[in-house]
Amino acid sequence: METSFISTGLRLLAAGVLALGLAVAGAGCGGRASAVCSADPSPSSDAVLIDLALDANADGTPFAIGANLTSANGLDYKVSMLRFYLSHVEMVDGSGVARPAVLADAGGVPLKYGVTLVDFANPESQLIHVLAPPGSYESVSVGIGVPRDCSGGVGILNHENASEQTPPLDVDSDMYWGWDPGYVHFKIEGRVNAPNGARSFAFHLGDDKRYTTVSIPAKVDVAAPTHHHLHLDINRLFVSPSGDPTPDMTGATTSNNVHGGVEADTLANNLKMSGVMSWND
Amino acid sequence: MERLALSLWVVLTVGTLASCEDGNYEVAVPAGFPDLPIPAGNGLTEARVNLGKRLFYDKQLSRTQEIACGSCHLADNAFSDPRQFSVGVEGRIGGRNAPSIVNLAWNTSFFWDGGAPTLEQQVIGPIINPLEMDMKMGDVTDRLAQDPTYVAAFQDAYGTEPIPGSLTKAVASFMRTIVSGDSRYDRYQNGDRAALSESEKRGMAIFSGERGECFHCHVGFNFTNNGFRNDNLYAVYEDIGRAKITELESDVGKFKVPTLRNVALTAPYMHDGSLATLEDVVEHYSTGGVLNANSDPTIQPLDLTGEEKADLIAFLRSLTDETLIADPRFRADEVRP
Repeated sequence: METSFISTGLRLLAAGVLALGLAVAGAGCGGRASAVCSADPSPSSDAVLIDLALDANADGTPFAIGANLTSANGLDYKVSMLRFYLSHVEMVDGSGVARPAVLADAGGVPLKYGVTLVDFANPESQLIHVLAPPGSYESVSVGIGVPRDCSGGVGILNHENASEQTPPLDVDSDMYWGWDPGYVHFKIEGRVNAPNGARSFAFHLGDDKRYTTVSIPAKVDVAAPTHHHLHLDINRLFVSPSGDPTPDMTGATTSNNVHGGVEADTLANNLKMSGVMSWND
Repeated sequence: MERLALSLWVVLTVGTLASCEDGNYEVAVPAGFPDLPIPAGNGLTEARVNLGKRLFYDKQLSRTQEIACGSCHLADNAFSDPRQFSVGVEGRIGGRNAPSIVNLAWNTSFFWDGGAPTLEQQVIGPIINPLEMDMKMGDVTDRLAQDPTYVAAFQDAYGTEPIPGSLTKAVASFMRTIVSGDSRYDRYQNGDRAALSESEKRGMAIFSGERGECFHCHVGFNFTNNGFRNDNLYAVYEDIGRAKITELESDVGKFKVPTLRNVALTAPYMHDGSLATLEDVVEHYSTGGVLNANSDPTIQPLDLTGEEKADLIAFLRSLTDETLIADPRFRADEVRP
């Protein structure tokens, strides 16, 4: 009787071990079965899917990759690359309460990492979708870049092994620094006709401290699926909040080949404070 | 009968686990070393280490198929590069001396500036660096996927196709097994009092005492504190080193304190290979080098005598691990003419 009891117990134990074995095998050898780290929390159950179409201009002139543009200080320039991560979209009401609007695909499924890559060479990437909580709002807040942490502060999003991630955080995203593992939040590259000749410029913003939250005045009522527009005035990237033409895309006064440092700080501050982004319905 | 069935179940179950289980590959850790640190999610298995070794010596990892990891980390040089700067694809020249990669399992950061926090992430750097392999990770694994033997090896190691995440883990696994701790110095430490000559013993005393002050940074079983120090090479550093990562003025000109194991084999020296010989290095520290804003306070002119310098160099030469250099587990399997 006792033997039979032990035997049954062992059988149950063996079944448990087998189940565990299958679970491990199912996760792939060496793969961790832990949940994917996302910058976004779960959407609220009453969230509404709204579209945000991103477009860009240079002080009103429509922007496109390779188009002839004129900077705020009168220089002719062209942009060959404009790419940035977007994350942590929040709807902010009149009393300043911010509620997360979760990044999603066109079908309303939250994005894996809670991060999307906007690439002006890929028009599809310029249409983003968020699951926003119903309400009346006075502004929209967006994060430019890959946040350091996963939602809830559990785990790291910006500095995990990129070779194990999928798009848009894959190692081949051309937004990843192998020498200082982490993602480039924002990249703009191009060519400017400087007084002393044509010059190439490349501004890459990386590092956790340059994750930039931009607050955009936006009177918006979220009740049913709607379509909205988010504009970027590229010229404003190169004008400080006090009106100075910095950072200098010609490289004459400050570096125009930037992977951090003071010029990257300046550009990040302009992105936040110089009215680069605006909203309309 | 029931018992037999149960036993079979258990055997099968354990078998299933073992094929995926982390950690069934044993690495002999020398006496005096801490346990080998293994990260969660990438335990050592024979399949992983073997795959990692094959990848380490495979030129397919570079865009032009000209160079492998092993092209710049040569076994005879304790897996460092005897050239001042390594040469990448199409003859591109890097800016730092390729360091020895022994005992990396215990390192807390990687690259001369410590940019990479894990060995797995370190593997990405040289592959995608335009001056080194100049390759996209996905292009590497697409290339490897054409070879059924690689497909099988990735499957055995990680249960995946050739994918970037498994590639970085495999190469890191191989590197983690390159453990060096069998020098004459080690034998002396382990009780063989005849292992070091009188000159080497005097050199050890200089190294470990106030005369040489070397031990402040080159400390412990691996002769490094894993820190970053400015070693007075230049008044103005063109390569800002650690500051490239931290963006702190106070880190300008600081570089990782390297292990000194096998140091006689790893010339040229310093982050930029600017000192050709051990004699040059000892002379540098004896004079104290050039003061700059971030000069390390422990580096002071020592004015070592000729005999002291010779003893110190003799000691440094006793840190060579001949067993490591000859170990077929780490050397390329075949040498092509």
